[in-house]
Formats: sequence, C-alpha cells, structure tokens
Amino acid sequence: MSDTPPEGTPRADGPPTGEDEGHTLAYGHSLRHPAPRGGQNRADAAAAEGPPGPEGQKGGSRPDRGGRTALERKFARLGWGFALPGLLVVLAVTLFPIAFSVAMSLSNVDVSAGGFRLSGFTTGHYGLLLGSERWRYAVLFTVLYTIGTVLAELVLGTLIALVLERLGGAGRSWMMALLLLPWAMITVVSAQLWAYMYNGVYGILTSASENLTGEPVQFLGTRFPAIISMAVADIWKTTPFVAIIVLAGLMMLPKDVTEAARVDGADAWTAFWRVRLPLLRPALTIAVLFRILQAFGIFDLPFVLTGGGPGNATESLALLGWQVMFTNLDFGPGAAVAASTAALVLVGCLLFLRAFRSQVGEEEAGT
Amino acid sequence: MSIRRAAALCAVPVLLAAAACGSGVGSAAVDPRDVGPASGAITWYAINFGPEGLPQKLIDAFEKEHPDISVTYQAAPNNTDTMRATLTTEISGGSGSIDVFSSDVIWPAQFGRADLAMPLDEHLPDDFWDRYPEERARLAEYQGEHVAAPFYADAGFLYYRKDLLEKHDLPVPRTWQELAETAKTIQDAGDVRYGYVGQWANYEGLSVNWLELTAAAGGRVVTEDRERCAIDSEENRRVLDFMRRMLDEGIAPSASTSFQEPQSLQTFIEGDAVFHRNWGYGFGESNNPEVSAIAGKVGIAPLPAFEGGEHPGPSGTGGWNLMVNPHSESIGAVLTFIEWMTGDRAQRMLAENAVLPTVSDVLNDKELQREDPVLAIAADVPTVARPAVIPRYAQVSYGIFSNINASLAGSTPPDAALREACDDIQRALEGDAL
Amino acid sequence: MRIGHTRLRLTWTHLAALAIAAFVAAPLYWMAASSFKGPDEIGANPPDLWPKSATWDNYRQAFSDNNFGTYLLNSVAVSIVATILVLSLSAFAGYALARLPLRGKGPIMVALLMISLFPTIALAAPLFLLMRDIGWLNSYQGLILVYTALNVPFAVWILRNFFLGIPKEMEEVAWVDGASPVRTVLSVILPQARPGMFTAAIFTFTACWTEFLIALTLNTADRFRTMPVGLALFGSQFTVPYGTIFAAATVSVLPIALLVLVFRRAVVSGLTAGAVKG
Repeated sequence: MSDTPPEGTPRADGPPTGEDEGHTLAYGHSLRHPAPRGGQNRADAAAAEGPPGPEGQKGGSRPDRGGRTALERKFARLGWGFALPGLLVVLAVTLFPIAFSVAMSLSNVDVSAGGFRLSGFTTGHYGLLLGSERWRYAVLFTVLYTIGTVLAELVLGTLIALVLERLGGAGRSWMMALLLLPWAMITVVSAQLWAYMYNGVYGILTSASENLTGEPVQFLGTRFPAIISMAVADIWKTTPFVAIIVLAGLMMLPKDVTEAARVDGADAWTAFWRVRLPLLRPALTIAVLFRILQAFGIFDLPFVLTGGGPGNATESLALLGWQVMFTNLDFGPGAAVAASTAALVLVGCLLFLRAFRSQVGEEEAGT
Repeated sequence: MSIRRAAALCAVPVLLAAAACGSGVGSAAVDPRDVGPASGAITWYAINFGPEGLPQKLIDAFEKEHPDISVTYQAAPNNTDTMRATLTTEISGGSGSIDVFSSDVIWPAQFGRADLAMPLDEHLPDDFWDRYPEERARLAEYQGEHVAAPFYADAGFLYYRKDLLEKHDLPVPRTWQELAETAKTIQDAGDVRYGYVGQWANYEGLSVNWLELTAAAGGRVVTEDRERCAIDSEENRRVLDFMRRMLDEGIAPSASTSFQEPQSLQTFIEGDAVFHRNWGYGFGESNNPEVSAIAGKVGIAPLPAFEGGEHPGPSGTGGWNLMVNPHSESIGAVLTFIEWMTGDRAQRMLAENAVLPTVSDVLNDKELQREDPVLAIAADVPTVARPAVIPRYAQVSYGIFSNINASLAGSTPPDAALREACDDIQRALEGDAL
Repeated sequence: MRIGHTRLRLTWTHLAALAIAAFVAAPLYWMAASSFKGPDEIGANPPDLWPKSATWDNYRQAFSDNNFGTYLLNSVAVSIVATILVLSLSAFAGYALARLPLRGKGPIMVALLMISLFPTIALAAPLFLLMRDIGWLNSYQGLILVYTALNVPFAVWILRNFFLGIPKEMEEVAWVDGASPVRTVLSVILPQARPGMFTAAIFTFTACWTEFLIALTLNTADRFRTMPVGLALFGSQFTVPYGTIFAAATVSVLPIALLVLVFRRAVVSGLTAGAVKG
C-alpha cells in the first residue's frame, strides 16, 4: 500500500514521507505567498516536517527498515488509536448498507414478506438504465443542475462571507443567526414554503409578479421556469452553508497576509484575488465538494415542489431512484440508480478536485 | 462511549446476521388454523382520513364491543408514496410491529405480487365479500385472491357555483364541452377569474383526471386484455386537445399543470373558479364557512359526459382498503378488527362523518343519502377504475401522467406526447421500463 | 480623504448586508406571517402581507392535536447527542489524519468522501435490516448511531482542514512540556481550531435536525418520532395544512436562532479567536 493517493485526489499530508504540503488542503503554508513570518516558514519548510516533537528526540532515534524511527512508529500507533474509533463507527454502520445496495443492483431482487431475496448475478439493471431515456435525462438534469446551483452558491457564498467578515461585531452574529435559519430548516418544510409562495393562484411571488409585469408568472407550471424556481429555492437554503465555511476559512487566514499585500501596494481587489483567494482554496474546496454531494443527491425539493414535473423536467437522479425503488417497488433497478448516482458523484468530485487544483496552480505560476 | 463500543463489537456479527436475513428466510404465509385468538393488542397504520380524530373514534367504538382487543392507531405520513415506502421497508424487513394497515385502492396487485399483504380468502368466510359492490371487491384481488378488504371509498365529482349559474340562468353542464362554454360565458362577464380547476400536476392524480375524461370520450389506456397500450387513439387525442384548449383559452388556469388536490380546492373555495373536479371531501370543505369564501354556494353533480357520450360521465375510483401484514402475530384479532371495520356500525360512522362507505347496504341507504348528497351521487355514478390490476401499474401510470403533463405544460406537442406515452406504457407492460 | 474612503466602504458593506438579510429573511417572514393566519386567510388571493386577524390556532393545533412537543424533544435529544459524538470522534480522527504519520491517509480521506456520497434512499432499507437485527428500531440509540456515522466523514474533512492550518509550534511546546497526546489535542489544538469545531458542530446538528428518510424508516412508533417525520403527519391525503406546518416549522427553527443568539459571544469569538495570531 502506498501513501500516495490516487491521481486527482486530495493528497494527505504525511510529514514523515515528505509529501509536498503546498499542494494539500492546508492553510497558512505560505511558502509561495508573502507572509512576514519568516521564522515559521523556515520551521515549516525544514525541521518541523516530522511528527510533532522536539527535534533532538527525533535525531536520537534509529530508523527502522522502512526508514521510520521508533518515535515515528509510536506516533503512527497513536494516530491509529485516534482515528480508529471514528472510522470504525462509520464502517460499522455504512459498510453493510452500501454493500447490500451494490449487491441488489447486481442481482435479481424479489421484494417479499420474507425479505429481499437476491438471486444470481446480472448486469441487467444497469442495462435497463442505459437504455432508459428517463435515466439519461435525469443524469443530464442532475449534472447541469448541480453545476449551476453550486457555481451560484460558490460565488454568492463567498461574497456573503466577505461582507460578513467586514461587518464584524454584533452585526455579524445577527447575520449568522439569520443565515443559519434557512439552512436549519427541514428541507421538506422549506420546499412546502416555496411551493406555497410559488403557487400559481394565491402565491405571494405569483401575485408580486403580476403587480410588476401585469401578467402572473407561472413559476412551476412550465419547464424552464420550474427548473429555475427550484434552483432559487435551493440556493436560498444552501448558500449559507458555503458562506459559513468560507467565513470560517477567512477567519483562519493570518491577518498579516493581507496587510503585507496592502503594503506592497495591491488594491483590495488584487489583494483578495491574488493573495487571499488562493489561501482560501482549502475551505472553498470543502464547501464545494460537499455541496456537489448534496446537490447531486437532491430529493426533497423536487419531491415536494414539482413532483419531478412538468413531465420529467425536474426529475433528479435521487427522485428517480426513490420512485423506482419505493413507487414501483423495483429494488434492483432502484439500487442501480443509486449506485450509478454514487459513481457519477465520485467522478464529479474527482474531476473537481483536479480542475480546481490545476487552475489555482496556474494562477500561482503566473504570479 | 458505550455506543461506540457496542457498535464496534456488533459490527461483524450484525453484518452477517443482516446479510442472512436479507437473503430471505422462508415464507410468512399463515396457516389458516393458526391465526391465534381474537384478543390482544394490535397496531393499525393508517393515513389520516375524515374529520380530525375519526380513526380514534372508530377504534373506541370497536374496543367497546371487543374489550379483549386493544388497538393502537399509528398515523402514517400524509403522502401516499411516503407511506408505501415505509410499509415496504417494514414488511419486507420482516417486522410485525404493524398488524393491519390502510392501503390505497391501487396497491393490491403490487402488494400481492411482492407478498407484502396476507391473502385473506382462507381466513374470511366466503360470503364476506358479498357486502361490497362487485366491482369494489374485485379491485381488492390479486390473481383471483383477495389481498385487501375495502374500507372506505371515494370518487370524482363535479363541484359548481350555484350562485353564478343562477345569475346567468345556465344549467349544470352535462358535457365537458358545455362546461367549457358555460365557464367562458361567466368568465367573460367578469364574474370569476377561471372556469375550471382539476388536478393536472405531474402525479398519480393526473392519471385519474385523464382516465375520467378519456373514459367519457370512449378512449382507453391499455387494451382490454391489458397486453398492449391503447392510449395513442383518436378519442384520446380529442381529450388532450380539449384539455389544452381549456388552458389556452384561460378556462383552466395555466398553473393547473402544478395543481394537486389542495391547490385546486383552494382556488375553488377562494371563489376563483366556476367548476371544480375533486373527491368527496371537496363538498364539505367548500361549504365550510370557516375555510371557504363560497360556503353555501356550492353544488355537486356527477362528472359530465364527453360530447356525444352518455351522461353522467364515469368517476374515477378512489378510496382505501385494509391489508394484513403477513408477519403479524395477532391475525385473529386483526380479522375481527377487519370484520368490524367493514361492518354496518363502522361503515355508518364513516358515512355520518362524510367518508364514503364501501359496503353496499350503507352506500344505498336512502336515509343516509338524503342527508348527504355526495353519498347519493356516489351510489349511482358509473365508475372507471385505474388499471391497477396490472402489478406494474405504477409504471403505466407514470407513462400516462408524465407525458400528458408535459404536453399540457407545452413541452411536447399532443401527438408526440400520446406516442411517447404509448411507448412508455408498452415498455411498462413488458417489464422493460425503469 | 482616507476617512471618507473608509466610511463609504462601510456603508457599502452595510448595504450589502441589508440586501443579503432581506433575501434570506423574506421567505422566513412569509412563513412566520402565514403561521398566524387563519384557514380563510392563508389562501387569500391576493395574499395579505400582514395577518389581518392574527390567531394562535395553528400553534395550538400543532402542539395539542399532534404530538409535536414530543417530536421536538426527540429531535433535540438525538441531534445533540449525535453532534457531541461526531465532534469527539472526528476531532481525534481529524487530528490524526492531519498531523500524525498514518499510512494511507489519502485513501482514507477518499473513502470517507465516498461513503458520504451514497444516496440515502438506497441506505434506508438495509439500515432498517441492520437495526432490526440489533433490536434498535424505535429507539434513540439507533438513530444516534446512524446519524453519527453519516456525519463523521464531513466533520473529519472539515476538522482536518482546520488542524492543518494551525502552526505546529504550540503543539511542540506542549510535547516538550511532556503533555500527553490526548491532553495536547484537548487543550492546545481544539481551542485553536474553534472555528472548525463550531462549523462542524453547526453542520452536524442541522443535518441531524433536518434528516427525514432514515428517521421515518427506523422510528415508526409515535414516541420516538422526530420533528421532520412528525411534520409529515400533519393534515391528510388531500390537504396541506400550511398554517399548522408553518407554525410547527417556525417553532422548530427558533431553537437554532436562539442558540446562536444566546451564545452570540461564543459564536463570534469561535469564528475569530481561533484565527492564527501571527
């Protein structure tokens, strides 16, 4: 087993193996960026690359065959002791359900009072998906919808975080409280709320649009308005997630970084774009990564708001999976929809990690 | 801490046990002689129905007559699909915590096929089914065997504004075309905003609305032998064109394509529409002064015919049955419960609370009919049932409503919509649809 | 000149904040306002911007006719315990993955990500089987365990990220002073990663607070139901009682707002004090 993660995945930071931290999701590794903390930089770059511990001790240990010192091995054991409880809980709960779902997607499933009966191996469920117009549309819709909403949320969320950062003090905490409300709302309820506001006859937004344009806008009745309306409801609810992660990231940035840039004569925009944004990369990465996951699995919103309609215009993969599984009671194909969703998100996340990193990398090169 | 340890300890054995369970353990069919005594505690899982608290009132009355049995009412989510998902997981997971449950009128074939409902014929006397109208009893069958006992019924009705028709001296329309004209006249006079509201959103309810209209026009969805799709026909084309014309001319609000029952009812009771198609509950709701702006001005009639067809047009069959969880350990008590709930006393309680009974005697009771015009009409109208005897009805219905809705929303031209619906339905019938 | 510049910028910030607040608050206002409207007013066309005859009926209905109080308490209990578990598990795991020389960190991180991307709809039925076998259906611990497992991956990702941002000097000082590893994490690392802990806590709590499908599947008995499930029971097949739903939802959103406001100082300092001081 190698310490090097698969291509395009976030590289772990493993000091003893000497990985390049400049490319990991780390804050404050300012080798490439102006930071007047020379002392720490040097420490980062050189000596402190080992496990936390006094350097003297480190030098005193004799390396084992794998090039590890006794101390390193001790720290590795400690690391596993720290990491295992969490990992085991995750495994204990999710391993069986995921394995079971994948198994269902690959065999003939009979739902019956005696349980799910799996028999034989078949790729037929996946064949059914590939041959289905409905599935292909759901894939297309989900991918485009994810890209659209996540991009919008990323931009809006970052802007909101910047505003909050400047706001400071009491204003910020009031805003935080307010921002958390949509996010903390039960998705089904927020979907009901938007359905109520979009209602074609007595919805507040419909009547507002009538006052503005003289003609009521039908938000949910036709295809593209329905897609946009759903996206707006989604953006309203989930942008705070991005904003808060980015705000927390901003707070972790060393203040002197920006100040140094200012002293160098950069205006606020350049300081943000050239200095702080690259440093925010880890926070942005996490926010986007998990937003991709959530957006790709969107279910409650179309379930309540549009029922996937009009036609199948807003049918997401998760909604399709639900319908195949629990409306048609076809658990095999339903599990195949779920597994295909997971596979697609994985590809999406990996692509994102890769694109995001190389893009930022180029920018750094150009500086 | 204990949770963490327990999880770590359990992980391996649990995985194995669950996998073993998952791969299926024996059949759960109950031997007729082994139904157990008619006593004990049972749980009834049901979607809310009737006026607030009606399920509990029924239970109280039952327990009074059967003191040995105690019944717990467990409210199900008010969304049929969510309820079905919970039931499927519970029962296929081998749980017996629910003994008896309400089930939608379109579930028998699907549940029967998946072995999720206990066949009842061995346990109930042959003459049990005589209490129902023949059609109603047949809808509870899967492959010739009853898997459900009809509990309460429902049907589609036409609600209209008595005051507006009187003002314009117009009769209650007998055909859909007449309805459209009447509506247009009243709309043009500026008395009301819309002419007609129904349920044309992208969901099961649109299939019902569609079937009522096409059955009136002589159209079908599948052939009589249920082997081939029959939706792409001249009759159905007329119906679809008619629906689209209602939208184009503003008789039906363009928001109709996102209307389910609550939205169409709300539009009607705000006084924004002349005509409204809805289930039986619509009468009480629209005449209730606490919620309705048009209380006392609402009339009820059977659905219209399609031009040239027989009046009245057929009503879609709705309602709920009772099913037994095959894992229940109190079958004896459950059977007593079903017998009572479908008996005279309970069915009368339903009728008195504006819930349509399924039992013929109560349905046809002249006394009750005089008090409840909904019941009076329901007893006489012809009905059209969804082709839910097809175990894959869910996919067939999706083929109907998604394509019709897309066409009503203007995404697909009518001929293409019917052609695609036909393809989808055909694939569903052949077990080839997603 | 310089002062004027600053003042202008401050105004723009305030304007932007106001615009954001308006966009976020408008739907919330509409929900709260509608929760005080009677059944005749809730569907009024055109809608009244302010409830004409405000009534508590919807609230009364939610709390007396339905077991909403029980659902609310269940949600609070499950979410709080799960959040505490998630934080304690993830803090150590995140620290190990950020700082200690584990082999296979990359694969572990990716595996955690992969687990969180499997759609819940596919997990509900197998989880039901799992919990039935342990006998934890209709219990608090079953739901808590599942919520903990499902939220650890995100918490580990985010906490690891924050740990990486903390300079190593302070830990080194602690090591030199002979502090035990656990103590180092608790007293040196965690206080520095407060924004991270706060972020992870908020997101874990809200994820548990709003989860529907698994709660619906695992806990069917009324006394173990959580709020999102309880809300789905309001009304009947053909009615959506917006008034009751919005009343209940307004109440369900309040604890979060109160929490943030009561701990306002902690929140603000949580998001600032941890910032790396040069």
